[in-house]
Amino acid sequence: MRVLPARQPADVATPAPPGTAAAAGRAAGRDGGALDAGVLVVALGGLALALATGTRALGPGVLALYALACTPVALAAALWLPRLAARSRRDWLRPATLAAVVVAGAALRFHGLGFALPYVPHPDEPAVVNIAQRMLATGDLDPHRFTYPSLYIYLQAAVYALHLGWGFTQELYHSVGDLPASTDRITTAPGIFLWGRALTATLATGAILLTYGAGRRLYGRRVGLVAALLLAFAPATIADAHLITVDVPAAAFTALAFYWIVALYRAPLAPGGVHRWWPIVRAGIGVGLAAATKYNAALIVVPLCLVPLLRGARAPWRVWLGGALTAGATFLAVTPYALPELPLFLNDTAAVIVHYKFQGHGQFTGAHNWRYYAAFLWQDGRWTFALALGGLAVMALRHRRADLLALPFPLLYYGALAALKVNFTRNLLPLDPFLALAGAVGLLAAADGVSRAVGQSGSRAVGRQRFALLTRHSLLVTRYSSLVALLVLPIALAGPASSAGQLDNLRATTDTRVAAQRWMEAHLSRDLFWLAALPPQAFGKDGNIVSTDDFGPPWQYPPAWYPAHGYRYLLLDDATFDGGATDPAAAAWAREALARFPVVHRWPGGVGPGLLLLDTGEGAPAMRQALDARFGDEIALRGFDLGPVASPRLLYAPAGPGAVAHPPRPGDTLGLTLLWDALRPPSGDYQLFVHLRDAANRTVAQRDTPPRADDPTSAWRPGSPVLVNADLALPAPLPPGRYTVVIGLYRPGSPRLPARATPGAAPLRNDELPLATIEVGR
Amino acid sequence: MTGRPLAGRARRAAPRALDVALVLAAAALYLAWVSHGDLTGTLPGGSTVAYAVLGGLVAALAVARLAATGALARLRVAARADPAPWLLATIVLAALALRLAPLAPPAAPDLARERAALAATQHILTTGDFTPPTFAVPSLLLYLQTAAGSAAFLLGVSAGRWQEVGALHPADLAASARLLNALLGALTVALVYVAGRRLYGRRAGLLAALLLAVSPLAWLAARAATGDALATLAGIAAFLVGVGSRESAVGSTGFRRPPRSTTARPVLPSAVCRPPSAVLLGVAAGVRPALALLAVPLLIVALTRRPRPPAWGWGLLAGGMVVGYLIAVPYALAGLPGWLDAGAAAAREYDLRVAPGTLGLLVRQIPAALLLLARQDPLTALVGGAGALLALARRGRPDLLLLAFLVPSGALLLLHRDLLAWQFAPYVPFLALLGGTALDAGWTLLAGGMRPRRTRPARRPAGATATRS
Repeated sequence: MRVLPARQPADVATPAPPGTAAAAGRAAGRDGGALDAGVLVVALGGLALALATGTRALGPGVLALYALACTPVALAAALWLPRLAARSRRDWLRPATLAAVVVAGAALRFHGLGFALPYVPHPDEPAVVNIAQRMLATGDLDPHRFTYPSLYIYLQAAVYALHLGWGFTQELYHSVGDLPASTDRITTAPGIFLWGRALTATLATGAILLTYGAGRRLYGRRVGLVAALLLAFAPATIADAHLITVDVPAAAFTALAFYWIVALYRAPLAPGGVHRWWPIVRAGIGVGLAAATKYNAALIVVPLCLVPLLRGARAPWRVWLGGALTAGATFLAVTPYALPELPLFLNDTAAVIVHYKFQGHGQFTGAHNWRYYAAFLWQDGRWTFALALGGLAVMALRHRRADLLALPFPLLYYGALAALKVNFTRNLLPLDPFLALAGAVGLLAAADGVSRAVGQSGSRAVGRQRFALLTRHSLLVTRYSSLVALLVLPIALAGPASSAGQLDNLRATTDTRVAAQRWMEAHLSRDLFWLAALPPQAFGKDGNIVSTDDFGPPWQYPPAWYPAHGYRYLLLDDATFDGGATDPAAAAWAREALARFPVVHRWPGGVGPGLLLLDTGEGAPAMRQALDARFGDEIALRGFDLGPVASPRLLYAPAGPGAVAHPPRPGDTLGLTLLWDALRPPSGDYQLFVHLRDAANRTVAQRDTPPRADDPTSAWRPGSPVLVNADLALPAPLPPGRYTVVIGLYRPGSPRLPARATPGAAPLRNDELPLATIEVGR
Repeated sequence: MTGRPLAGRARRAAPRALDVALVLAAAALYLAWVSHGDLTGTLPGGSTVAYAVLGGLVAALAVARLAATGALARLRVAARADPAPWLLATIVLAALALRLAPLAPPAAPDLARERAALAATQHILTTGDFTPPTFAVPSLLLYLQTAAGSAAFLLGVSAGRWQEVGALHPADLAASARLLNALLGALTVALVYVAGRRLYGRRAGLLAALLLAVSPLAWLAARAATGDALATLAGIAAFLVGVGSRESAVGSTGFRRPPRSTTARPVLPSAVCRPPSAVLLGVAAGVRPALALLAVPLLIVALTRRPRPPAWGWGLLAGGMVVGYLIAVPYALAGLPGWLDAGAAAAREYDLRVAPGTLGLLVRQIPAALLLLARQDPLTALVGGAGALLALARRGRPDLLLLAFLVPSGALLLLHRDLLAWQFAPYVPFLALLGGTALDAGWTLLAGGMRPRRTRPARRPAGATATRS
């Protein structure tokens, strides 16, 4: 089948008579590097604006000032830099411009890359990281999940392997087992995330180059350069380039596929008028890689199918069949378990379809998503979106073959997304390279139009011959088109650069949770408990911090309960206190707590949530069992709480609220909280022993540790009660029966401190205090 | 200002205006689609009417645009100069329409075979175990049906029909499997045209494709989800690649590619030595073991070739056939006992004993087979038979190649204990080729008198060695 007459896609330039509009337009295309010079300035200026934005959005006035300042500099550079470059032997201007665009884009994509770590705020990051980590830890390369195709997961696993290798040399890790089994909200291996995000940022930077390449091959260097510039400052892409999610990689691989499709379109045909195999295979590989990154990117196959028709090549089936086979083989090569796990693959893919098309996703559900997405793109960058729309209109109206190649993917992709119920805006990211390309086409078409109009009116005004002379010798006229474009670019990019920079700069700040943790560890005493709205993994195992994850919502007890139970500090989410609490009980509790307890410190919301630190005040906490036992004349035991701890997650919770009211069983952890008080500064660092004795007084379980790993007894001071967790693990084969818990203090190599049940009582036998008798059940 | 410049300006402006109107109409259609009823829901008749009106408008403007720029006239001229591609496209589309139209269940004997294939496909889809539950159904067919079933499942999920692959029943896979077979059947028609063009010329190819397109046997094979359509396609593809090639891969004898022409293509004896032909032959044998007899014509050609292929060339061919067979039946070695049992069961369906009675059975079956063929597919039987007689009479190289396959295949078929119509399916394309050449000869006789050279196979290219004295 031969649909269109075969021809080389590049229009052959034919000389036009001087002084005509065509000559002026062509001269505008060969602007001697004016556009390069201007783009160089705009790229660096945009980067400077982004970095200088700070963490708050700039107002329109500031952005207008920036545009006013940048535009003359860009115009001046457009007029003078090419002359400067012409004096040197090598053409440095063009590579320098492209490098500036790529560097600006890379800087924005890498700046703030480690944001929030060790916290993982985006829920989709662990969905990829956990699978890749498990592959490394177990050697099982089967992802066992096909919600996403596997390519990006394998790339992440490869990067983690490199990171592990580096970590071994730096003694960050000692074995693969040091990697966390899974991550949720917080990670113990932040380096993994940092390196994984760097891969995304690298791919996002690569997309800039690929967009440049595709634009250059399809429309010429000027379009490629402006498209790369527009993509370099695309805020949505920059925001997601900081995440280990599949959307930015899908955009990058879609751009790669399109680049290879354009290469196929531009490649010379074989002698028989058919496409050569290697460009077909390469384009098919690109399509397969894009589909293997995110399923919806498979739509990039449409331009591939159009190539032979647009080229008018013989035997279009070579492209269709070869492309389809190569794409399919590539997909299966990088998602190799799709076949062995066919039912799982189909079920997971079906789950994605059902989720997107029928179920919806909470607030990310809409019935008019075509408007929702348009509104998002408008907010993302009004000028750039307007340029892209203009470019799409230009491409549709003139519908050259190159336009017909570039148009279908964005149109179909947008339509397909709009048909779904779920409206995740990150799904739009594969469109960004195409919108940038369309924006560049629109801008330069408008600029060329203006240039042509000036050419025609100039020709009419001064006469054809004179105008020809001007065209040949006047910088202003020959570079008019580029100068018009440079009038628009700083204005168009000011908003996107500023908003991208704002997010980047915010992400470069320390996470509020990390800041709060550091501050508390540096400034607060660890004598008493802290209740913190942080995950339990945030603090060390021996800490005195109780996580709200384990404790439950703080408003389950009245504020007065906390000081009575040894909670000196409450680190809570700011949203509870600033009216953001939706639960009326929580709001009432917050009002009472604020009235009762002073605020020690406040961390306004930024990368992390806003946090508030309350001090519940001095005072000894009340234990369920009050005592006044003495150990020597240095230390008193004022009371204790005893109870089983059913879940290991409650290990560090005080026995009060977290304890489970059932008899301890073999294998349980016996929760034991002791309230100590120093009578005078202890003379040494004592060890605490806790023994579990059976009826025959045989020790069946014991622990011997310092009372507080972070607070030796020698540092205890009178008047500062110290709470100690001395939980005891009950052996799994423990026979049911009655057991006695006894405790005592000793210094290694020295006898135990004499123990008395009350201040005036006789010393107890063996210098140990029987605390309680427990009944161990089955 | 006179009227003539105005008219000229209007003529020049018309394509541009149509262009703009076409783009605007297409944009409106796109917006109607992308807004999913937001923009068109309130219009009279709703979205459906809007789609119909806008779609019709786009089509009309596109045709008007083509007419205004003279593209339609150019197409007309091109179609007159070389109508073959258009005729072929029409035949293939008609064949596809014929095979797609009745997606309802076929006749009872096919239904049982179809049920077995669909059950095996469902087993693969729901368990992920690609070991075929039975070797009685071609494994390649099961894998192709699995791919089609996967796509159908995901489409069904999109339509809200299923949510889990475990909910699929064998009957749910019937539509996709039949659609696949219909596509294979249409592709077979196209390949028959190519084979006929290369062997006997363009008109004979077109006539052969037309015969196959309307053949009831081929239609029956392509409408049910059995292995018949795949076997038909694999057989003609292997034959085409084997004997229709124009280059030698083994020996590099330096044949030059002949120039493109509208007349018959030469058939080179060295073509059989191309590994792809051996691979396809292996695939065909894997799909339907009786198609291994395709090796007969190909071997005859190879043996009569001068110089003969080197020993390693034969090894390459054998290796290619094994690879092809394992592509079609990849678990033949891993599931050897089951494969052997299936082979034994298939062999028991034939009377292959070396005994005098066997020959008698063969002779006795001839009338029954001819009657069955004439009853099931009278046109193909009639013109195919005439073509066979013509081929015997003129004994050109393509004729001999076709007969070298059809005669032993027919003999094997006659030895089947329970002759059924579907067993003829893989041979229908070859009968259609013979019928095509018979019709072509008749056409020539009627249209321009006796011009026997036109229907004879093409001359060999320079350097080719004679294989027939």
